[in-house]
Amino acid sequence: MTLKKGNAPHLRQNERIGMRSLDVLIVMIPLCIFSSVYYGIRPVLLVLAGMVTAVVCEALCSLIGRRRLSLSDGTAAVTGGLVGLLMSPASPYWMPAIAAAFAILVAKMPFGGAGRNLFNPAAAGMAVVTLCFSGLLFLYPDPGLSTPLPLNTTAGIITEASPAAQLASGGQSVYMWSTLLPGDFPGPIGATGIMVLAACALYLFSRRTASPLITLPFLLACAASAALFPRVPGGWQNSVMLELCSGYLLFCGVFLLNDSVTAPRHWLGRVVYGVLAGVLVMALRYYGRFEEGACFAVLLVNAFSPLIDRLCWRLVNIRRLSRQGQKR
Amino acid sequence: MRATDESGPRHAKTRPVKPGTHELWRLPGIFMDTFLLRNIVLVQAIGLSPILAVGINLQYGVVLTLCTAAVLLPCSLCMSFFGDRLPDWLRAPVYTVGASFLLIGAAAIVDRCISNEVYAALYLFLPLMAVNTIFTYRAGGFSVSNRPAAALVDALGSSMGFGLVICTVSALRELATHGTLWNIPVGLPVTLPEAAWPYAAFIMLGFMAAFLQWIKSVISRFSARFDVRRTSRPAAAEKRRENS
Repeated sequence: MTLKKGNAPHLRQNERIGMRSLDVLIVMIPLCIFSSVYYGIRPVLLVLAGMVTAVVCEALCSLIGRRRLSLSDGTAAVTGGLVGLLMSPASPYWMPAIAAAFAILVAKMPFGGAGRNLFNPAAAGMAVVTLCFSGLLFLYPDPGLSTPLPLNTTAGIITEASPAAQLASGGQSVYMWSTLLPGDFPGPIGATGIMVLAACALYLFSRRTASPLITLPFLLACAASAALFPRVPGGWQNSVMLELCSGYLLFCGVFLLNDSVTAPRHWLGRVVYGVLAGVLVMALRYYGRFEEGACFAVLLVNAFSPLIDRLCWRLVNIRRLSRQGQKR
Repeated sequence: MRATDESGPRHAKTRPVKPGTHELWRLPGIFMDTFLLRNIVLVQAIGLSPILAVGINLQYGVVLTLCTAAVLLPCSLCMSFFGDRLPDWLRAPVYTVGASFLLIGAAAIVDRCISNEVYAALYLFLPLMAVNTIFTYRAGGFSVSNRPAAALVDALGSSMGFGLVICTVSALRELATHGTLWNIPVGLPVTLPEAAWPYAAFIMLGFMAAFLQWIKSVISRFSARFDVRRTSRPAAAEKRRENS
């Protein structure tokens, strides 16, 4: 038997790396449209700013490193798009550009490009923006005004406290089921459309680009933490609903954790990875400095991903391994 | 000369020396080895904590480098003289105590002669330097098993290698955080206060380590080509002779 040694993502026959990226890019379109219904064309431009910067940075790195131009696999555009979707609709255009540039120039290309990165580039880019510009990043405009945001300036945009900020400050939240499910609350561009995100998740599951073995345990772990340790009055149902819909928790479960390069390959490893990420996201919300620290949680579990994979494989194959040991 | 012990760095193995070479000719090699090729921070990842925590101002970087050299040079010299007479278990406590005494002097000099402010910023890290792994590793491993001259050059290379990294990182971080260099304004249009956080230093160290690896690979490629040319010349001449 011949064994092929190669880097992730491990694909089946007749499947190109570009197909997975294309799936994610397709899914970004309804999210952009959803956001532009509330805020006008500005969110789309922010996502495009992230994408263009990421693609340009990747092309530059390929040129400097004298590598083959690897834009056709689409991973750079996906990274830039994801970073853009996590921005506030009121953030300046340079912010997604900085996050995307950091993601490509520091977290992806120095490690060897697509398939060799240890950490999710989009999460790394978001982490830097969260650390450096938290004052701007978490300023979300009020979607209730239903007037398009100005394109060339951020001055004069009316901002409102997001559900995540209300949870973090310990106050009572004004958001109910009726406002949360249609996405009529302040939040990042791609993370407020709860129903759209759920549909995107189903599409990605059906295309096998995302794995429910990561997303569902992640959401269950988050829901269990929210039910056990509620931060708002109104019973555990209220706490679970608010925690799952606020910030970019759902987006993180569908997109950032399902990166086929950094996620574990083994089924049990994926479940453990999802649960660990969920617990970490909630812990960072309870004890962290920022209202949303899911990107840090993703980076932390990415570091443990190979270890989780190996341990889970050993756990499942423990009988076979012990039998081999006896034979020796 | 005693053979290198198992715990210490093995220069004898990494750099084969021709039999009969005077020890003096080994010294530049030892210096380059510890200063750059096996840089104590970038390759061996020792002594990271002072760089992450106080490598935010070029002054602090220079003072820490001088303190390191002031402690490491005498420690290594003493260890190369008396180290092999001490049992293994006693070496670590002896040079930790010795380094602490030397650091008390260095700290007093920093406080009185250099600047009160610098001492106030570094007072937590100067005593910590005494138990820093640089000393335990260098003074314990290499100097015990080598002659004083080699130990001294090794200590000099280590402290200068550490200084190179901490000064570069602290200068860049000072520029990014306050837009100044040695507390003199440079006039940068944008400053980034978050560069003073440890993660920025980690990223810088990562890039510097990668840069060092690149330089090493270029040198090794160049030297390999040079070796091939040198070895192939007589062979080519022989071939020509055969043909004629």
